[in-house]
Amino acid sequence: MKPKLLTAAAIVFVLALIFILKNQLNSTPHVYKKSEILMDTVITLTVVTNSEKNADEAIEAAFNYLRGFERMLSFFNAGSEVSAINKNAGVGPVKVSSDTYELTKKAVENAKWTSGSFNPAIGPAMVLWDFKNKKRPTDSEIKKVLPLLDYTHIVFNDNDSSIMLKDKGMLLDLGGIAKGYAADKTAEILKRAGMQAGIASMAGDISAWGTRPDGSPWRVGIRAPRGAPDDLVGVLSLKDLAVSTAGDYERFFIEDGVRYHHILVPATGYPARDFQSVTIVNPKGVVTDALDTGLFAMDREKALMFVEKNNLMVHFIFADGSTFTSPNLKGLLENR
Amino acid sequence: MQQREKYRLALLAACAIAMYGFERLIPTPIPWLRFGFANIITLITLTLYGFNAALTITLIRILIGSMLTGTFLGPPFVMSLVGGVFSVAAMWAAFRIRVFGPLGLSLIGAFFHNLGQLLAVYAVFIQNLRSILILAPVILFIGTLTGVLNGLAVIFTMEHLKKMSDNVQNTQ
Amino acid sequence: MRIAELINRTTLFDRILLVFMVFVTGAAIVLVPLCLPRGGQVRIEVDNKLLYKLPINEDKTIPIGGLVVEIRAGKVRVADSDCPGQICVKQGWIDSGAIICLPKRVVITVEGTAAVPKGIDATT
Repeated sequence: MKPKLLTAAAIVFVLALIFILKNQLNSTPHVYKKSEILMDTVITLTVVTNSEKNADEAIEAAFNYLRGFERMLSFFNAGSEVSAINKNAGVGPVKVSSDTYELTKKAVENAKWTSGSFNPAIGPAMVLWDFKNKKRPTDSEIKKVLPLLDYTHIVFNDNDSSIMLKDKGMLLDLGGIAKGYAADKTAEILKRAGMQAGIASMAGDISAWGTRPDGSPWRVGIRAPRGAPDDLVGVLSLKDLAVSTAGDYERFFIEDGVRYHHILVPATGYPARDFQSVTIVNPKGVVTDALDTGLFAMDREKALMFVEKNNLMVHFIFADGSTFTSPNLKGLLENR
Repeated sequence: MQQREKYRLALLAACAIAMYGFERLIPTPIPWLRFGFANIITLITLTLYGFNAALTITLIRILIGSMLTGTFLGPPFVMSLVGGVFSVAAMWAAFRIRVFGPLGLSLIGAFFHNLGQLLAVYAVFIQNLRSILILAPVILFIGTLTGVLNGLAVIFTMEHLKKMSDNVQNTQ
Repeated sequence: MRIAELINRTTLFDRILLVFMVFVTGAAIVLVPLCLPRGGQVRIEVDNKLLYKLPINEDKTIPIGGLVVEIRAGKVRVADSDCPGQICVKQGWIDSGAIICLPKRVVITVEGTAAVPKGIDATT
């Protein structure tokens, strides 16, 4: 063999080897993960795909959507659409984007479903509680705002997709449902970008689709309400399902041995008393997010009846530490 | 084995151990990274006296060297042993096909020495293909570099030996 | 004896082999890092902006506005924080996943270490 031919053969051989090696490493799907802090919480997107570039692009697109979502819906951001609706309470309707309109409609639907136990008009009561500075309002302050918590006074106009709050002083607060909705939307965006599987996790509101690269379902831990942040009471195996947990450990302060947390009973304006945490699994994140809060704000018996009537998949940890797992969730839950 | 042959092997092995000791004095960024100067002696032995002689002095060098440095039967010893045997066998095979000079043989020796070491590491100590893959470019680079240096050193030495033996023959 | 003379003593196959080895070495240096699914990197983001991207196997201690991030022996932790919760500090050493300090808006992620299949993918 001539040396030139030999060199050429060697080069071809090496190139082939490199090509095979690179393909080998690329053809197996990998898990890509990225976290950002948005909407006052940690958002982690996990995707399964075989190209790092595709994963980066899809995740970036999803975070872009979420940044816009935050600007539009933030309760605290003065420039948001929700703020505009609140400023015009008792004044006039405000035209909003399709996301805000759809989400507010869903919120009111869920409020009706839970007979107002989940309430998007909770705003006036919510702003009275200051969990950061551990300040609670007086009884009379709370009594004063109770009439303003009427979600039936949120008026929709489908023709120009505008929303109006009937009474001055009403405040729309979508905090109890926005993250579940965002998880649904984000999962959709990632799916459309070709991500075969993944998890959109907006802190406690999680939407999971597909499976892990090895074909097993995603494993989502349920936090222990009274343990360290990484203590779990159980692990859920999820495939094409969303999950949300409402807990009295998320935002709270303790005064004279009483725990005051952020899940208020709309009828009283005070924190709910019957649960430590409520976890609910459903195909729709918007449903899980609204109902975890809605169920938490019910009393124990009413919540159990509601679950049975609607055949919901739930895991309850009651105030006394005892638990309840609905029969249809038992197959998905592995207790710790 | 003839007495004369024994002396020769002992002398060569002593040279190899000296080389080994010498290169340990040179600081390197990674502790197990070495130039393998002893391979110069191994390669000369292989060229002049054949496989058995080369293997013998390699084994002596590894044994005595590890005892001198206190690593006898430890991980570095196992790595050296496997690497050394691999290297001598590969160089002998390459030598037999008669197309390579000292430079090529030295490159092959260095490469197979590293390959043997990695195999030993993988088989005996850590089953982590990933970390070995990460090391691969470094090892290839060092192997090629030291292979060239040692190869040139062998050519140089062989030329000298030739001249000296010519001189000896001329004066006789 | 000059270097040129030494090189003259090499055979054709020596040279081919040398070129080949140089080529393979070059290819390995370029391709191995590319092939590896992101070599262990620690990303430190503040306010969703990437501030540092550091190799996890280089020991380092970095102060970031009230936090002290420590990288040692292929692991990373928040060594100290002046935040009230101290959750990030309690989390300890990690070699995969992330440490997140919400009050400081700091996200520390470890990239490149393959996701552990038996672990937990998310927490609710």
